Amino acid sequence: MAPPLLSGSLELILLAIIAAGPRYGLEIITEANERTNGYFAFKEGSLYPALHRLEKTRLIKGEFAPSDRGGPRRRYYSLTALGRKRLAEKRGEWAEFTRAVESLIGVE
Amino acid sequence: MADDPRRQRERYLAEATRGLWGRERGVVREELEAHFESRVAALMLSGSSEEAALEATLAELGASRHVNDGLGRVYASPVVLGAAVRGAWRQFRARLVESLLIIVAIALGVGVVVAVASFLDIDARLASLMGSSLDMRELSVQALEDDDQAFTRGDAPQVVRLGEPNSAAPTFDLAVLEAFRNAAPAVDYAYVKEPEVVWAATGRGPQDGVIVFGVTGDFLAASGLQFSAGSAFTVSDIAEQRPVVILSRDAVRRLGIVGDAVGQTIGRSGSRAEYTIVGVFQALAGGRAVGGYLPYAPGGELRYLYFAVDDPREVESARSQLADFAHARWAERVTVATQPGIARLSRAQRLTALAIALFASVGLMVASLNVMNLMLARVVRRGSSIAIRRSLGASRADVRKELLVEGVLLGLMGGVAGTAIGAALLWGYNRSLELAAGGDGVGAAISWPALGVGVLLAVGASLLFSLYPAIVGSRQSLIATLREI
Repeated sequence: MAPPLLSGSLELILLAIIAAGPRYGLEIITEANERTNGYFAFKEGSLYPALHRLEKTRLIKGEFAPSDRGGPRRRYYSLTALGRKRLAEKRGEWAEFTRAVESLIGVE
Repeated sequence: MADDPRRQRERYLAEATRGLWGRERGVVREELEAHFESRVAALMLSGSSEEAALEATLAELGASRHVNDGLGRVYASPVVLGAAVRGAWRQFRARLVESLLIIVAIALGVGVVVAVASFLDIDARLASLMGSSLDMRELSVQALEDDDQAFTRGDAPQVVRLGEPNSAAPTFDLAVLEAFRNAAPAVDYAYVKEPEVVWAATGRGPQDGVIVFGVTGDFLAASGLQFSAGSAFTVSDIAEQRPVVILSRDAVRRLGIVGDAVGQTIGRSGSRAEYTIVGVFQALAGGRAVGGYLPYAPGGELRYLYFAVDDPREVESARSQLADFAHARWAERVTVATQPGIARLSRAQRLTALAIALFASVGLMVASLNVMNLMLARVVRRGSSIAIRRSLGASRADVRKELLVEGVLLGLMGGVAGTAIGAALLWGYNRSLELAAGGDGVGAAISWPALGVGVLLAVGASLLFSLYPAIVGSRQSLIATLREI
């Protein structure tokens, strides 16, 4: 994947995972890993800054909530209205992009 | 031996949140702590010991500086220059040893250059210090036949010249001039040429005036002036102190004298006396513009004595005879040197200055190359954090800008430190002069221009030598780097 293609796609991946419901960091990593069969096996070193970036741009919202297993509070991220709108846009762009590329490179 | 995993965890949390403030720091720390707890608990459930689980979690998290880099970018937007500076400052703190090495490299180069630049100013003060503290007069000797004009000063060649007087040095007058002449048979001409009078225009032209020298008889014979109108004044004019003057053609023009200058009169600044122009001469080839000459009026201390010989081979014997006389009368307080000797010394001084400047330049170049190497290594090591920035939408230009701002910040610090090093070198030099020669030294200090040059040099060099590392940093393979994180 060329850098321009990857650049910005992390945002789409994270928004898509969080869209399914509030998630905390470790959950997001696990889900990204499992749903892509290990392709996006990125480490926490790149995840947390990305989450905070999205939160700063108000696409997601982070809130501490008690752990369901009784441990320390976890920070759950959920989509904001702006995030949902952005996700829809990004999905559209991505679909358009992949269709265009596939029609060129001949993927069936 | 490895650290206790708990301590490693604490260190990780501290490093990952370094540079963050207030609520942001608290939020990130709590979030990461929860991450540790959840992951360790999960691993322990699957059978790992607590220690092994902590180690595994740390390994999964990756280097703390990657988290720190990424978070720092989020909370210090590089779009604004101020934020870029804050980002650079954070990098400075996160990579303190590395940053200090770069600063030291810049500072050493700049320090030497600043010290050398300030030495140019010191040289003149040192010469003045030598003259005033040693109570010496220096005499120089040269031949009249001066084929290559190397030893001709002004419009007349000089043989022996006294240095600038000072209160404690031996004083000279016309009687001393005669005594020198009698003691040195090899000397053909002995004369006075005192730059004592500033002449104003006659009211017919510009008021800038010209400098006129008071001379004695031998000067006219030694100088070989060529007259385009009139002639030189005579020995009797000098003896009787007649109010006559000869001017150069340039001086006539500058004074705004129109028509035939010979026979006209000019005034003297600060005096009502009027002097009649008796001749107009052409300046000698290669000589500087000289106003003119008039009979020397005895009285007061002479600043210079001049001795000339016709045959260049006699220069050394003239010098020797004059030196013998001077030493017999004033011991070591008067020195005599030939003009060729002084010229050689001057050439040697120039060569020395050139060599010092060359060494300083080579030093700065080596320092700059070192800086580039260090910057390059710094950028390559940060490949992963740069990749995270890129994946979050930062363009190559953003990355380049940040790295350049870092370079400039380090350059500024290096410039300030380098100036301090330069000042310390000069202070040490001044202090050693004080201890060796007494007095107040030469007051060696950083000059403002040297200071400006130092800081500009540091920032310029660091900017220039950050450019390549910045380009390399912004072009690293994003996907390959990111997947290694």
